[in-house]
Amino acid sequence: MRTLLFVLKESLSGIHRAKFSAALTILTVSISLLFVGIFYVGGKNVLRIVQEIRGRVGFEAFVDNTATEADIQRLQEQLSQIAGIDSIEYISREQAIEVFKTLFDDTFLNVVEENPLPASFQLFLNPAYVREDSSRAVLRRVAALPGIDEVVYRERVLQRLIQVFDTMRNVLIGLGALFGVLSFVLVSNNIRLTIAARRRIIETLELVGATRGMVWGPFVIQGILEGLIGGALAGMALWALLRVFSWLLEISLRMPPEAFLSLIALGLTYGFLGAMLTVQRRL
Amino acid sequence: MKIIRMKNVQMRYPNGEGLKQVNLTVEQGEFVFLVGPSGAGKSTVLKLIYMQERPGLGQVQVGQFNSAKIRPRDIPYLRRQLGIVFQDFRLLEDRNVFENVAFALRVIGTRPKEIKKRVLRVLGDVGISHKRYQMPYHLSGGEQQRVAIARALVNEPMVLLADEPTGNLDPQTAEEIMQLLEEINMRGTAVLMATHNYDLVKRYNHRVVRIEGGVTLD
Repeated sequence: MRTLLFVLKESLSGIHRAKFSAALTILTVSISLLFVGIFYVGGKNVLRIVQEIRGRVGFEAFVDNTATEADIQRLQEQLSQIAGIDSIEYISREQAIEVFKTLFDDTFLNVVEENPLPASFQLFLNPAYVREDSSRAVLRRVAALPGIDEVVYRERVLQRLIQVFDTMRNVLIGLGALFGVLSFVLVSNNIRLTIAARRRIIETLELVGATRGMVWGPFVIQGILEGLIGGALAGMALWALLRVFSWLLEISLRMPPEAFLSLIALGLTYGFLGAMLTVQRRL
Repeated sequence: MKIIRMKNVQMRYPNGEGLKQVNLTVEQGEFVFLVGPSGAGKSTVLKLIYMQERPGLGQVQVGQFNSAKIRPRDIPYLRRQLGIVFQDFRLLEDRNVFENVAFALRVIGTRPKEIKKRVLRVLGDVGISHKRYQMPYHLSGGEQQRVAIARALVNEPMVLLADEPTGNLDPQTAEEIMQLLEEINMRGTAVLMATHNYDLVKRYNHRVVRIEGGVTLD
């Protein structure tokens, strides 16, 4: 117990005696972990947005103007049996004209005698069917139904957007991993410098009969503490940053509940591994 | 009773230097000078005793520890039975005299009350207790060496290993440190002192082991 206290005291005194270096390490670790957090949370939010977009991807299937109420009922049933269609919304000719009026200048409608807009089905795809090949298969089956005049796949732009977001997410995750490695290297380097600066105390410890654990302990605990504090600071900064960006961009950017604890755990792990690796190589 | 025994010890550093043939014994309570010119291998002999180095051939026996059998994790326990002082004092600059000496006891888990008692006693023994709250850089060379000796003695070692303890001191201070080592020896602690100062050795009536070119000549 006294030995443990000694090791703990030595590690705290090591941090206290090299305040500037320790503060710099904690700061740099927290910045690089903040990037890890940004990339992780950014990746998560991109994923969420992509899912939302995928939920909105669909077709507009225009119904032949000669279709009767019974035809429409039959079509609705047939559509609901096609795998990959998540939800169906029927827009009658009257509803279509109302929507048109809210969106555009309706003077054009005064010159036509009859409602020119057809009735349609808004078909929303199951996110699993959003991939181009599977969505095309659904489109072909819908277009083949008797009574369907034309099918408009209006989400080509969204498909492209999803591709861009997918790439963005992968890049963000990759950068996050890169900054993670950077944190590890930073802790490791700081411990190396601390060992160099405390060479005299290490020699003295060895000469007066300190066990290996007592010589290593203060450095390992120092690494753990620096990583831990760096991780906690990164978590807090990330939370604040998301609040600011949510407010500025007027969008909902959520901090996943596991993000804060993950950053602390990541800081602790990097601190421990960085210190252990250096201590094993240098002592 | 022999507390140190080195028999036909050879040791070679990667640069080719080292020890060729070392035979040395130190009896309990004895004072032995290990003399020789710079580079003769005096410090290496001491390093072999506190097992910072291991012999290539031959064996080093220190108390119950043998260089051929000792496991790395047991070396700290050997060192707790030795007191070691150096020419450059090797004090911790970031803590005061009391803490420098207490350090050796804290490492082995001594109770705080016991630490205070023993540190004050040993500081009194080496005549430096009045400066116990001073930082090492406020002390003279002689005073710093007294603190280093106090740190080496506070664990009540079976032998004090002194590597050129007067090498950085003026003649008068060197004499004072020698007197202190004499007193320590008279109280029963064996002393093995490495030095290249033949004049100093001549003034004391102790056994002398000469080492030249890595070979001891008793």
